[in-house]
Amino acid sequence: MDDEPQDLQRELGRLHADSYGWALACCGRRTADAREVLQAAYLKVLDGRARFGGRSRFRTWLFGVIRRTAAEERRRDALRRLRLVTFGDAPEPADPAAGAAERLEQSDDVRRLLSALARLPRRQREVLDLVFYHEMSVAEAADVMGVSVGSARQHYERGKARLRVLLEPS
Amino acid sequence: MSDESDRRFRDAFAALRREEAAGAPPLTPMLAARAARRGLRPTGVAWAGLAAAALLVALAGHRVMESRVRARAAAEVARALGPFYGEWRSPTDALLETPGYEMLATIPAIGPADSLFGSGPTTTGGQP
Repeated sequence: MDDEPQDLQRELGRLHADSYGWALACCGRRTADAREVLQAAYLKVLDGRARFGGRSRFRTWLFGVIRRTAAEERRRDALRRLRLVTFGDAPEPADPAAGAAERLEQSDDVRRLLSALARLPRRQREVLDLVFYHEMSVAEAADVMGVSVGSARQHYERGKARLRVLLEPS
Repeated sequence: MSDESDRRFRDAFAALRREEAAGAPPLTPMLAARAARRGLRPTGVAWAGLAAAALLVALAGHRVMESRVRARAAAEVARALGPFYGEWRSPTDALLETPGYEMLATIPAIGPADSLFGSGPTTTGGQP
């Protein structure tokens, strides 16, 4: 029983790079948000607020936790912004130059892919990320996203078609 | 066509994955920082305790305010009715004022000034 947190930490460590990539995908590739979300998700797992029931693979379950945590953060952030607007202290719009240094380091292909992904609806983006980036099956992606396999497949096909158009050389 | 585009997607995502994996923060400091921050934040039980304490304070405040309002209202009523009660006398009060009423209403005292027979003070249970 005492080994359980150690085992969990070991498992989190093994999947850490993948989890970070998925957190980035859930946070629109904003690194600070992704780190925050990932920390919150890890803590949920280690605290026992999120418990692995063994119904799926650990990675699939962990990705689901990260996705839900990111959604909670988005809701909290939206509320914070709403409150600031209500009290007349509107937040400054996101700086378009933010992350410019990171973008400079990215290759052209990656930059094009990210820009195309940003133009897809969230669900399509998520399913493509899970299938192509994390090499999951559509069924696993559906599990992570909390949707039916049929729905995930539909998002996958539409997303792929749209991405193909967006990535076509002009 | 589909296989070709799938392969292109896989290559593009693989490149993205390589770049992002290189920027992943180390796990241990991340967990330590989060745990430290959590230590400063109230847990669920603490939140419940705080909420209960706040509720008790609010209830106590409400009670105090209520009793003050009641006392003030009672004082105002008494002030409004006070002169009336003070001045009012029963019409049959005069019937109680019989001869010797004042003597009956006062307690007799033994002593030179108030002595009915003009004798000096007597000691009770003493020798003559």
